Amino acid sequence: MNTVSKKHQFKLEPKQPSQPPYKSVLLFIALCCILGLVAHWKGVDFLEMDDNGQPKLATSREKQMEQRLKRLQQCEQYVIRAKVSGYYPCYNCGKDTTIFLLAGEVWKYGVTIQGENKRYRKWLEKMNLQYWVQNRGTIQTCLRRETLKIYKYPLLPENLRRKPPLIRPPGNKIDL
Amino acid sequence: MYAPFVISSIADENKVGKKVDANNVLLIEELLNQHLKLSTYGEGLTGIAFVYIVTPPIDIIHHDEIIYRAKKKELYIEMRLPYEKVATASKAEVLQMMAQKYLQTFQDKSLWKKLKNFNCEGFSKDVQRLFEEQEWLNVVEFV
Repeated sequence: MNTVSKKHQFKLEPKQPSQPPYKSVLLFIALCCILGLVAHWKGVDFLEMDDNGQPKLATSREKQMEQRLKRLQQCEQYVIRAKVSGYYPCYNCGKDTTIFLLAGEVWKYGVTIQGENKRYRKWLEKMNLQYWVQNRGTIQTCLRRETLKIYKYPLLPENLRRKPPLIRPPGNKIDL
Repeated sequence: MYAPFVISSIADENKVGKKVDANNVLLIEELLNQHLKLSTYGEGLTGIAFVYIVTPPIDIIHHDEIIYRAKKKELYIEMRLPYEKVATASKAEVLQMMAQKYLQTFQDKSLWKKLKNFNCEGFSKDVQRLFEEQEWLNVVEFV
């Protein structure tokens, strides 16, 4: 054998006897147990036991419920109006996707409650619109007012002028 | 945003709220868009939306808020005007209040810390100069 072949000759080392993967299996099982315990604990943190050993809502969960019920008592019904005369998106204009609104005309009616995702923000910043609060009250009152506004929209003078008039405001996709 | 400077309002649809009418809102919006360029103050912002809240104290839904969207480099601000003062002010005075509130918001150093790569100090000085030229900062301590 020459020096080159000697240099590149694979050196055969005696094989070490392979150890069974006990450690990694045990580690995996332990991890699963820990995760399972955490999931179990997290999964039922909305329940507690009362003094008689009966299940009841956890205090934190009950607080959430009270807060939600309180927010439903404090809602507002609003109208979004065009700030300037121009073209605005229209969801009720048939093939046309925009409609010309004069400044002050209605684009949409809606209801919002405290803490709710404020979708109106994107309308105010993406389009030339202003938000006007028309009514405040419980969710029932506000939804009722919103329904009346949407259904009676066709009778508004600004809409009766149009040919053809719209069934609902341009920005309201559905009746509700 | 439809323009670098967007001005709008959330107001009760009554005599008081209507003092923050489209006219006042548009005056401020047009002035800012005509005379200022956000890129002058750095790369940190491409749009500022400022929404005035003019609702009575019973309103618990709307409150002062500043939202910075770093990815879009946009700032969305909602700021309340004192309802009782708007109620007794004329439309011209309400315009002064709106200008003061806008300027005050950008003079607040806690906002400066939130905005990276934007020269808030320089911007607020230019806004002040513009509003002073319009004589919109004549009456002090309205807001």
